[in-house]
Amino acid sequence: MKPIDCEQLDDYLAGDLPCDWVAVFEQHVGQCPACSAEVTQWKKLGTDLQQASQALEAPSAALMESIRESCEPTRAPPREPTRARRLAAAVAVCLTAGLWLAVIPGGRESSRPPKEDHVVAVPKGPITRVELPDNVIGVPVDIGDPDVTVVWVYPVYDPAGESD
Amino acid sequence: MSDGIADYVSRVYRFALRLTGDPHRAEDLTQETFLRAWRKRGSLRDPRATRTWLFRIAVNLWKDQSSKGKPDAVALETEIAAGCATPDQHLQGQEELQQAIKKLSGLPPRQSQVLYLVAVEQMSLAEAADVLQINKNTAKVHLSLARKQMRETFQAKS
Ligand SMILES: [Zn+2]
Repeated sequence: MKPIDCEQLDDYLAGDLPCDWVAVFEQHVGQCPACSAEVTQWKKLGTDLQQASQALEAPSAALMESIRESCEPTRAPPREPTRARRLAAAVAVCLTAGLWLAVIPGGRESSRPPKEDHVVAVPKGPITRVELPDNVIGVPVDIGDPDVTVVWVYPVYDPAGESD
Repeated sequence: MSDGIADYVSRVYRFALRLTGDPHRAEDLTQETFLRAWRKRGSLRDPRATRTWLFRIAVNLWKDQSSKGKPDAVALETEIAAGCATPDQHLQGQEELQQAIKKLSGLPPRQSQVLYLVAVEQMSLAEAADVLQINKNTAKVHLSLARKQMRETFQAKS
């Protein structure tokens, strides 16, 4: 073990001194005016910065609200088309777990299994959030169960790229 | 919003200020951090580690953005305090608080980040190094330099 002296100050202040050295170093601090002053200043610095950051660096109410909206489960939105389109533009929809979403080509019911890249897997668990690709529109469907949201997902019509 | 989430948003935002050096980019980064965290919340094994998990997500996002050409962190200077203070925050000694933040924000980014995590967030050096994904000894050097810089400023002031 190295002799305990002022050299250990940085480790001590960083909380990186081995446990059994801490008490010994604190004894040194009690006898060393230089280290004692450093420790006092360090504590004051921490308190000042904590107070300052909390008082002057608060996030805006808009940010708080926005994160709350993004991260907390929401009820299914109303079904007006404009709202549905806005929903799709927002790219994200909160869905209940266990649902599989299939994109119906051309908006018609598909007789064959959807292609893999047309399926969004929703993990098991509580309310979750699913990202929709930019080229689809999600339309919520009321199935009469407040705990389950079903969303039809339609591809955006693109005559140029219509081949399958 | 539950107080718990609000507290995390505040902490992530303040840490994001240390990363980005800009209130608007810090807001964007905070928002992206929570979106990614929400998507990947299944990967959080220990809820007690939520804070370091969120901070690491913020660091990763910031690294991604920096590598895509967004500018590095810059000194916040006085802009932050002016932008965030509301009338009821004009506490006694506010000028001193503003000076402290200004000084913290004037440090080189890494020094400011390590100092913030250890002194304000009360993380151990190992936790701070883990969040910033740097070597612990490197973090120690940054912390020591930051502490000395801050000390010199406070001494010069008094
Ligand atoms: Zn000493």
